[in-house]
Amino acid sequence: MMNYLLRAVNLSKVYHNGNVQTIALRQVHFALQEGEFVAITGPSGCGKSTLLHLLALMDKPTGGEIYFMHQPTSGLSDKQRAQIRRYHFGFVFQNFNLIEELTVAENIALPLIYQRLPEPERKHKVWQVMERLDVLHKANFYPMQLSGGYQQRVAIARAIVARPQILFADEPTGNLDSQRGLEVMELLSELNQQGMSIVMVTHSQQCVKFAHRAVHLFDGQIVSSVISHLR
Amino acid sequence: MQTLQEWFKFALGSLLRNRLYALLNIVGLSVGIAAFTVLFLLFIHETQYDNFHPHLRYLYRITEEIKQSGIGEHAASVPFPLGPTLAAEYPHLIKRVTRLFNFQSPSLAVSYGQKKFNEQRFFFADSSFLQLFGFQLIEGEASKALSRPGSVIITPSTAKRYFGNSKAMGKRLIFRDKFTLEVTGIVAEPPRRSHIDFDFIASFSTLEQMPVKAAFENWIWNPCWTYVLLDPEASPEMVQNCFPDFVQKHFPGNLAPQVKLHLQPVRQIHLYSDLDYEISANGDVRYVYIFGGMAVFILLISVINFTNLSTAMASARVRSVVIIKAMGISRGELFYFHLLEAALMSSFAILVGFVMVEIVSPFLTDLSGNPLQGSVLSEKNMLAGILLAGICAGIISGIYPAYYLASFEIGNFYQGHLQQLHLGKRFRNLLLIVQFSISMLFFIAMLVSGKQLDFLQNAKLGFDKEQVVVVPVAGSRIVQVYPEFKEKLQRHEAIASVTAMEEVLGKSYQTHEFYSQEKGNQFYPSIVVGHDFIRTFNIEILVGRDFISRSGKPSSSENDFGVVEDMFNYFDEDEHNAVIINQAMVEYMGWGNPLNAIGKTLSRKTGNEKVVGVVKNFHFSSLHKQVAPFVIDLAGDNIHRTYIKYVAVKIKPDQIAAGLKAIHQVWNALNPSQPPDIFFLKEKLDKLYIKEERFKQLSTWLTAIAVLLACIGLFGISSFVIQQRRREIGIRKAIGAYDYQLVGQIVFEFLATIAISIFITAPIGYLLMSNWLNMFPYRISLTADIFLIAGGIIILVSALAVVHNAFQVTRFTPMETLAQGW
Repeated sequence: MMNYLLRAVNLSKVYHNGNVQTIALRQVHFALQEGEFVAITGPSGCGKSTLLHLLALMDKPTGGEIYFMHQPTSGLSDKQRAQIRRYHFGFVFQNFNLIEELTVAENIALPLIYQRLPEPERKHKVWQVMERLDVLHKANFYPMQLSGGYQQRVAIARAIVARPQILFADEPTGNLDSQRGLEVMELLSELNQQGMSIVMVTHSQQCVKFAHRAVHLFDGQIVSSVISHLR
Repeated sequence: MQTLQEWFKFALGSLLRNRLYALLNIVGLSVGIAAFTVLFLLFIHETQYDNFHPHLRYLYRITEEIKQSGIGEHAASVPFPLGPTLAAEYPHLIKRVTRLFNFQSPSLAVSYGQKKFNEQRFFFADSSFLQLFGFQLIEGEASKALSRPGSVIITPSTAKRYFGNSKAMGKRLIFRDKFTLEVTGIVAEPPRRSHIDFDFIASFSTLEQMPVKAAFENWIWNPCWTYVLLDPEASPEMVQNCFPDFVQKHFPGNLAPQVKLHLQPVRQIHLYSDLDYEISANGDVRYVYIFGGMAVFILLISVINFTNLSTAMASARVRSVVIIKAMGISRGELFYFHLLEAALMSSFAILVGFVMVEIVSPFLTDLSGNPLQGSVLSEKNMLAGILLAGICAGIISGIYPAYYLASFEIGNFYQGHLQQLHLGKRFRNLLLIVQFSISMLFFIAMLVSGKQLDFLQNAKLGFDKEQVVVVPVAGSRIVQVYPEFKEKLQRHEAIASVTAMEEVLGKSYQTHEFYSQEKGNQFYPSIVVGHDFIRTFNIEILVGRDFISRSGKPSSSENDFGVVEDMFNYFDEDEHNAVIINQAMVEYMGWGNPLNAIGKTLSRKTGNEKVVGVVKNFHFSSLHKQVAPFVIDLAGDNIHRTYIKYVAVKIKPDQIAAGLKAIHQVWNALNPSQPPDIFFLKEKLDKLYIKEERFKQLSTWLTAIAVLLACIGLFGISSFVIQQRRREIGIRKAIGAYDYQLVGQIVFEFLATIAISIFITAPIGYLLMSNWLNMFPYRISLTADIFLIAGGIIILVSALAVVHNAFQVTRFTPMETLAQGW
């Protein structure tokens, strides 16, 4: 038996809007090994982001099962799902999704606050991650005062500050220029090399190159899973 | 125009989609407008008293102050001869004078055939009555109706009561079983806003046939409410300046130095007058200000509410508005359309509000418990005013949401920065603070007024008011046969004791002149009573003894508490020689120890009274007044008929029904021609606090309305804020926040704002209510529990309003929450 950290079996998702049904995912099988870096690719509307959200337990599937550390998640309560997100997952959104009313440092500290980490330890960790991502000098800035590149760094800092086992990234370079995008991908690659498993949704072939494996989605189904030779 | 039409289609669709908010918004404003209108009606009612009299500017009442060292009375009435004498001596200053007189009796017996009533609104008046006041004669001649002795004018409802549908003019009524009164006019019902309220006005000259004629030249007894119409050339000051000489000339020498006459404008009587022997219960200008303030506050809450809910509703249509804007509608047009929409909604709310007022208006009463005048629709100026105020309120409250919606820019929307455009977090919180501060203030007012009323109604008065039934007997045959009435009653086993008195103890009192070595002649608050007064009311004797009847023993052997037998046996006849005083009198006289007062002279002209007992201070009038020196004088045979107006009967516990039956039986046996008019002392005394009762009732209703409105507003604003913060909530959920943490955070943030308003209002409420309580010499103290209860309940109710919306965040997954956010 393979040592899968995260596994999806027969995963499907259907959206209902009045009488209209939209099938976003059909019987998708997906697996992530510990330390693996997987890129999910495919055309717009193929269900990449939906799959990522389901895998990150941010949404509930219509059918199928997701196993995290071999435990099925469908029967978990909202609180238990939140607990997994809190202690094991990190998430980087395409549009950064920073809280406008909080400063950079406060945004980054959020996951640690929910983990109820004591303040001195929390401050230390936030300081460490800010230094690592080169945003220390922006600690007291508000998101609106930052460029897109810095906002994405802060979003990544927030996602990794609690050292999650899996980092989910939804188009992490989608809103950045190529130079900033490259920097972000190098950062993700470095995190992966340090042991963090990563699932990333991307359009960009440049980004795919940083992953161990590229899963290609089309019309809600996985049509290929290719191990990268470029890496 | 086309654009406007399209806009209203769009707006209507939006309202229908947000039915709950639209309904809350309209209902909220309607309730607010209705409450404001009721308060405004009350305000108008109280401030428009007596304004129907044609010469109001020149119309005054003469009042008489008889005081020495602050002790005595300030009466709304003056002696019989005062009015005519004044008019005769100063014809250049006084054009007309009218006196009103009712024997100072709570009711007067009138009959027509088998119909017999005790009439409480019966007055004798000079023939100038109809010329002086604005009361309208429907039938008869105003100049002659009251000119002859034995004439009476009555109101249509009274005519119907006595004569049914047959013509009343020329019919003959019988007054007090003896005197014939011919109906010489039908006078329109007095307007409700009149301090003179009557069913009968009989000609003053009728009194010349009665024994009271003897008082026509008496300058001491002051039973006549006397009104004067000043010459337009004369100023009140000119009249006032004549008073000292006039008093000196006419009042008895020993009384004159203590007497001051005053002119009181009739237009000010209802709101500003609180004298002894008022002709009817008056209002109080302080309450008018309070209700005016409350009206403004309620309107303010409604406007804030409307603003909050409109903003919440506006937030639901941001996307559509941005699209409409993209299609070419300018910011100015959007702003204008929104204002128009708000004005239309508020107009609709006003209509609903008026319907509410019309429904409740039959149940509305003024401060004195009298019904309010007619309907809102009868007050045309007020109607126009409220319509204008309501539409303005709608427009003012529509400005912020209109600005809010018009300010959205297309670019910002697509960049996902809409949340930054809501400039109003502080503004919103400010509105919430104002709203809840007002609610808290009302809540405090409700609790304090309730506690104070409870205190007033249940305070220990120093005498028993329970189980005591009062029977007015003035002018009836019972006065003449009182000893027999009492004796027959006392034989009944349900009756504990019987006494007679000049006024209703605890409600009112008289002032009588007594001579003492220390103070000379002076008028003191006092009451003339029959035997067993102390015993019936269970007043505590500190030193000395109760009155003793001629046999030398207490009149009842059943209970002889407080009586020290033979201790002061030198008083041979208490009827002529004894008075009982209270502690305050001992202090006023400077006698030191109450024991020193025993045997001191305190004599009236009719006797050689000495003090036989000192009782503990008791509240001989309402708790609005401090306890003052007081004399209890035992009526002798010679003064029985003049002074005894009430019989007080104490019924044994659990035998009320039997006791009442006994009173009726004995009364009917001794005075079959007149029905008895009985009331319980406690009920009468509770009515002394009708203004406080009305204040409590109103503040209770207003608190309920204010809290309801504030919570509707809070419900709307919390829904709006949660909608605005969905993205943030989604992010927090994605990061791993538990639902209960998010709900807790949202609720806490709102409650923190409300807690601020509570902390701001508590000291303001303390100051305002301390001020209100200062009106009362006897009052509750403002304790922390009042503020804790008010604050606690407001927090609790607010939490309920927010929790429902806050729980919405738990219904969605993080992604659903994020997707629905902006």
